[in-house]
Amino acid sequence: MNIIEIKGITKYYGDVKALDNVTFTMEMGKIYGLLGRNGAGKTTLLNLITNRIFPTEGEISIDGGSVYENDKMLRNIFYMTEKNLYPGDEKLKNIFKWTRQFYPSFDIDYAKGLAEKFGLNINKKVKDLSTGYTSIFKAVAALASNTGIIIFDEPILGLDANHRDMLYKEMLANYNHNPRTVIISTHLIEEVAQVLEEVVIIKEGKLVLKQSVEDLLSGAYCVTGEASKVDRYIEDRKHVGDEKIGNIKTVIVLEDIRNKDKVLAGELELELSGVQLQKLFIALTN
Amino acid sequence: MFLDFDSERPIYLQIAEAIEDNIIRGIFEEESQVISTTEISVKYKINPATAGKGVKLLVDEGILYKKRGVGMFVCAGAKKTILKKRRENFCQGFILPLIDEASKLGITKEEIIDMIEGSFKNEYH
Amino acid sequence: MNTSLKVTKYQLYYAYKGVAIFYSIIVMILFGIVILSRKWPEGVTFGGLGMATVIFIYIAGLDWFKSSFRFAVANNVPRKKFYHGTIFAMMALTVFMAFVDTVISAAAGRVISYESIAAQLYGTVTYPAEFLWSLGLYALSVCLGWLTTVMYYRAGKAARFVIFAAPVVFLILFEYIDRRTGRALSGAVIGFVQRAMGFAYNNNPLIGFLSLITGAAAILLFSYLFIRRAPVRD
Repeated sequence: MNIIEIKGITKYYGDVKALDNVTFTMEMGKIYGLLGRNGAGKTTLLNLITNRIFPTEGEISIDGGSVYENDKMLRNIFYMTEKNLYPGDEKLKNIFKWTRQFYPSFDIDYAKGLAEKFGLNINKKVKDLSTGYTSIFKAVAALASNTGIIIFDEPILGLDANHRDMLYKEMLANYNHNPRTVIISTHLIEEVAQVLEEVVIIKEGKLVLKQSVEDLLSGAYCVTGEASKVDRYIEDRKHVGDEKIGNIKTVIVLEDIRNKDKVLAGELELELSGVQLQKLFIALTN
Repeated sequence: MFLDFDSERPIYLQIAEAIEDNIIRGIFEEESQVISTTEISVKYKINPATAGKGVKLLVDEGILYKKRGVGMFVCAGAKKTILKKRRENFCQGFILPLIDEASKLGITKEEIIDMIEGSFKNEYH
Repeated sequence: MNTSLKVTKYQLYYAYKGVAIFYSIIVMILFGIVILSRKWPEGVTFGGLGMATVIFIYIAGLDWFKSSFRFAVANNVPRKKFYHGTIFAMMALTVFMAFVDTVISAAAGRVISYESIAAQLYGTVTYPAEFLWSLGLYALSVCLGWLTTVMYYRAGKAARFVIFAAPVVFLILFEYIDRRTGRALSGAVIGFVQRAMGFAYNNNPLIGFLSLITGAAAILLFSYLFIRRAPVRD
C-alpha cells in the first residue's frame, strides 16, 4: 500500500453537510494528525475511509482500489473508534483472541505486555472498565494489530497524564519498530503535536490545510507588543488569531519565520516568538 | 537534553545542538555511540523524522557517523569541529544580541566592558 | 480461513452457551417426564418439544445481529462477509438442533409415548423426514428472528412502532376482510398451507420441508436489503 486518496468527498446526514468536497492524499509510512474541533467532521472522514459509512459524493481509494466492501484492504487497516464497539460481557483476553482471528497479524504477547505496562487487567469484562481503561484497552488492541494502517480516534479520552505519556511513547516505539501509516484524530493537540509528522486540519467539514508540522510551525510566528505598533508590523502581512489584553496585542503572522523583520520589530519594540501548534490551530479553525 | 517546544527554533536544531553540547562536555566521547534516533523519539515523544533530521544535520557536518547495523557514533575530531563552528557563531549568536539588549537598556560600551571584566574576575578566580 | 467463516466461528461461539443451557433444560424436562410417566395412565402421549426449539432458535436469531455486527465492524469486516458468515452459522445451528431433536425424539419414543411435531402433523414419519422437516421449520424460525432484529435495528422510532403494531393490525384487517368475503380469505390461506405443507399431497413432509426452506431463503434475501448499508448504531 502506498497511498490513500480522498477525492471530492461530500457527506450529508439528512440535511446536514458533514463533509464538503474534501480532497487530499496521504502517503504511507507517516504519522498523521487529523485535527479539528468537535463536530468538524473528523470521525465522519475516518468512517468513510474504513467502509463504515458511505459517501454522498466522491470516492476513497487506497493504491487505486476502492475501499467499498474491500475485505483484502480492510484486513490491513485497524481503526480504534471513539465509540466502544466491543461486547460488554466479553473478557478482554477473549476479545484479543477473537481480534487475532480477524487480524492474523495481531500480536497477542505484545498486547499482553502492553496491558501489563498500563495496569490493564485482561481478565476483566469490557463493561467493567472505566472510561480511561476502555481507551487504553482499545489502543492496546490497535497497537498490537500490526496492520499497515492504524487509525486512532480520540485515543487519549479519559487518560490521566501518566497514561497519556505512556501511550504516546508506546505509539512511537511501535512506529519506530515497524514504520506504518498512523492517523491520530484528536482535538487535544498540544501533547500530540510533536509526535506528528503531518497534519490535516478540518474545519466545518472542509479541508483547511494539509502540511508537515515542521513547515506549518516554521511558516508562522507570534508578534506581541503595544497594539498600534503591532498593527504597523502586520500591515502588509497575512495574520490570524488577534488577541488583545489591555493594550497588549498578540498576533500570529503567517509567513516564513526566517523572513521575520527583526529590525522593524526592534524599532517597534515588539517581541517575536515561535507559535505553538495548538494556538495556530485554534486561530485557523475559529 | 532539554527541548523547548515553544521556542521558535525548530526542534531538530535543538536536538542537534543538545547532542553537540554533550559532545563538548565529554558525555558523548569521540568514537563512542550516541543516543539513537529511536531513543530520542520515544524518550522525548517526538516524531522520528524530526529526530532523524537533527541527527542527519550532524552527520552532514562531519560530527556523527553511522555504523551499519549498530548505530550513530561520534566522529574523531568532532569536538574540534563543533568548537570551531561555535566560535564562528559566537559573535553572531551571543555578542550581537548582547549589544542589542544593552542598547535597548541604554547601557554603554564602556559599561559593558566593565561588566565583562568584573564578571571574569568573579567567575574565574 | 476466509473472513466469512471467521464470522461464522464467532457467531457460533456467541450462541453456544445458550444452546447448551437450552438442551440441559430440555433433557431435564424429558427425564422428569419419563419418571412421571410411570405413574400416569395409559394412552397419554407427550410431544412437541420441538416447539421449544422453534422459540429458542427464533430468539437466537433475534440476538444474532446488533452485538455481533458491532464486533464485526470493529474488526473491519465488510457487511457482505458478515451476512454470509452469519448465514453459515444459522445453517450450522439449524442442522445441529434438527439432528439433536430428532435423536431426542427417537430416544424418548422408546421410553414413553412421544410424538414430535412432525409426527403430530403428518402421522408416522421416518426419522430422515422428521429431521428434514424440523430443519425447515427451525430455519424459517431463525431467519424470521434475524429479519425482525435487522429491521428493528434499521428502523427509526416511527418504523419501530409500525413493526410492532403491524402483526396486530394485519390480523385485525385479515379478520375483517375475511368476514366480508364470507371466509374466502381464510379458505384461500388454508388451501395454500395445505398445499405448501404437503398435507394435500398424501401428507408428504418433504414438500413441507421444501416450502419452509424456500421461505427461509426468501427471508434471508430480503434481510440483505437491510444489512447492506447498515450504519453502526448504539
